[in-house]
Amino acid sequence: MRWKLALFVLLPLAFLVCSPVLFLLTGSLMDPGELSQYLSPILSQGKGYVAWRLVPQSPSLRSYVELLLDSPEFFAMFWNSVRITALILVGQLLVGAPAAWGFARFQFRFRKTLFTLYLILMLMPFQVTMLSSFLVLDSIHLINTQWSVILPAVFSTFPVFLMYRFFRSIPEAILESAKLDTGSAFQIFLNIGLPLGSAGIVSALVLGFLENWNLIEQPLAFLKDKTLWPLSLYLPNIDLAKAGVAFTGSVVTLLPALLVFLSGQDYLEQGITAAAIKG
Amino acid sequence: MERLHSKNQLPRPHPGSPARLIEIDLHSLIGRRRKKPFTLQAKALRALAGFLSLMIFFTVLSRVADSLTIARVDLQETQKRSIDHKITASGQVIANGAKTVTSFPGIRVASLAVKPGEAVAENDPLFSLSLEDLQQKLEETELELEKLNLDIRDQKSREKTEADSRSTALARALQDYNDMKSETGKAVEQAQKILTEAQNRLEEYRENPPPHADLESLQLICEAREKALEEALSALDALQTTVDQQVQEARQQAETAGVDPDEAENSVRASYEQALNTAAEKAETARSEKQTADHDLAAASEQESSSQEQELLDAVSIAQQNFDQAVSARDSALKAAARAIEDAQKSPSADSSAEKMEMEWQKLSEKIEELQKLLENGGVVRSAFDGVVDKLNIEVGNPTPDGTAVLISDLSQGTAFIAQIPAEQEKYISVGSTVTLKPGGDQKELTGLTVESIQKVQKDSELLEITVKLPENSLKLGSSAEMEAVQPSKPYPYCVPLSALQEENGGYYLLIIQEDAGFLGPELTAARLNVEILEKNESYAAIDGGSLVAGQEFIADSNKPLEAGDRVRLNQP
Repeated sequence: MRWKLALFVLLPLAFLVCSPVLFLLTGSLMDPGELSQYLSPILSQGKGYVAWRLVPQSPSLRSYVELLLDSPEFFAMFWNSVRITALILVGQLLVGAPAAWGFARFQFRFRKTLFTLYLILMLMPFQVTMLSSFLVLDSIHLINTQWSVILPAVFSTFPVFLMYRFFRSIPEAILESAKLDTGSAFQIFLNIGLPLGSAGIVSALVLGFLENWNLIEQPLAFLKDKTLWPLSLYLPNIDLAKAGVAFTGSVVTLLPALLVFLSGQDYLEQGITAAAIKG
Repeated sequence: MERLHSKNQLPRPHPGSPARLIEIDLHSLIGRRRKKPFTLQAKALRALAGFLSLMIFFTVLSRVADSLTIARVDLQETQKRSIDHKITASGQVIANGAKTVTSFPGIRVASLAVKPGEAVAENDPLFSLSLEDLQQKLEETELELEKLNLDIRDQKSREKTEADSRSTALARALQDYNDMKSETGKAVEQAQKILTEAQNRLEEYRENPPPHADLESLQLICEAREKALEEALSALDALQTTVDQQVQEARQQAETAGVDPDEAENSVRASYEQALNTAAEKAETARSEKQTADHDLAAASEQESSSQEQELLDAVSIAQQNFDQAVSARDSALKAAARAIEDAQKSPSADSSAEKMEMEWQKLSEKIEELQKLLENGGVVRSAFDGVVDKLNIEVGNPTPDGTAVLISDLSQGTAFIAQIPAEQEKYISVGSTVTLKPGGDQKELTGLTVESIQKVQKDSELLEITVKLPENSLKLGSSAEMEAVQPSKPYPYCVPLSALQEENGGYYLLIIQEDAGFLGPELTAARLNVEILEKNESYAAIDGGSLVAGQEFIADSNKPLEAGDRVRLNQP
């Protein structure tokens, strides 16, 4: 009975939370005329209030055709996003994983101080560090290049934090026995640490993908050339005349994030659970 | 844990193995069996791979579609040139003079002796008419003429009768006028005489009015009354004097006697009071009677004189009225008689029947003469001059038309070239302009010719006919040629082809290239540049250079319709 009650409360809430995605899907299938009718009060000084239908009056794939066949700039920005996100994730793997392993398994001077500094940096919002980052990037001539977005994200502290938790959870006995077999710390990291901490690594990568796929502020601040812009900056350029394309673009932008999340969902759950138990 | 010998022998932990360790802990804690974790994961990974492949496919497809929809354009710079106005027209060579040959209309054509284009000399036969028809026509025309003669005779007779009637009426009107004038004149004189007499009598009466018997007796009465009044007044005065004396004496006596004098006076007055009253009444009565007598006399005099004078005045008045009536009657009668004279003198309304008949008679006579001449010539119609037969408006067996039967070009006046051009080109060509003629075939073109005349085409006001006089023996009559006339203009620094100009709402603009930074890199878009046209011909236009940059390139040609804001791509040379 209790679960029925819980369901009765949770289902509407879940629908409320999912409704923007639902609107997105229905909006992508609407005729441009129908969209103009519903959205004109907010996008073109029309009278009355915004209206919406869950089921379109005249469903149409016109927006999909227009986006997928008539908008080459969308794909240019899509591949920009893919490039930026992939390079960031690879960089985070190459830089963050060893850093997390070092924090987790090695004892060295000022370890705690440094880790605390990492945490502080992780908590600071981008707006605080934007100006200083701009000055540094400009001094090394990276402004208006995609490296101005990639490099700061590669050296982000959040993946280190996530992977640290998982590396910490590896039993010491395993490592000690590995040390007996091989004295190389790198090999232990590579052959023991990475496989055993893969859940954390994957969850860090998944969260990193979700974060970097939706980057807006850094590209807007550091990239002047529109040819370098990622997909997250395509949507702000849409107006009422292209509202259908905006909805369709949002659906297409959502899909990779959804698929990556689904493919790494288990690791995320495991990571959250392990952190809760082991912590 | 087994010993590690080499990297290759290292056990490959399943990605889930640490998780499995954790799972075992979890299972022991939670006690529930975990579902297979990898089915959804594998599917999601495969879907992601498929999605990326699809995106690659659509990327290529959208680029291809984009390249197909983008217009390819050619750029060109403005040129410095003059805007020459070339006028071309096709035309034909005609003879400068053409003459018509007419014939009697309505007569059947028996035979034709010439064809169009054939040269004829003076007196050459052109065609012949049917003799039967000619004879019949002659007889009909003679009959018609006879009828007309009769009509003319009747008309003349009518006119004479009318003239006689008019003169008689006029004479009568004049006679009536004179008679009326005489009669009415006499009546007026008579009335005038009577009036004058009445006026004279009145005058006389006023100057010397006669006395009247009744008036004499009244006059005597007045005199008597006046006398009586005088006597009464004297008696009254005398009595009053006596009373005064008595009163005086009485007062003296009273004073002497020592009696109140006033009492004595009163006593005297009282004694004479009655006498005084009587005398006063008498005087009053006499006065009244006199006044009455005077009044009666005055009234009688007035009445007598006014009644006699009134009679005279009435007589004058009547005489005057009679005179006025006589004058009025005279005037009316004379006016009516004068009008009758005017009516009689009025000329009759214009009647041109006689002239028309005369003209008709003349015409018929000429027709008869012409028919007789034709009959004498055996019905053959000949040419009166040298020339070339241009056109035949007759056919064998059909009646001759009521106009030109044969049109013959008169070669003695030379040939000319005529062509038609739109009226709007008039400003580019004028009399005296130099033209070039390009005949067809192998003939050489003729240059340096001048326009002889420019006239409006009667049937079409939007066309002009250009005539160019040709030198002798230059082009054959009837041949066609192309005329070309060029009017040069001053050089303009900025000229563009007309195909590059766009028109909107009465204004013109060019499309130029603008480079914008787009999502796919630098993009070329068409931008609008408004221009003002100074002059143009059918291929180029000179524009005002105010809005142009030096060396400005514009879109001269495109493989698709273009509007400002469209993305474009340059055609590779």
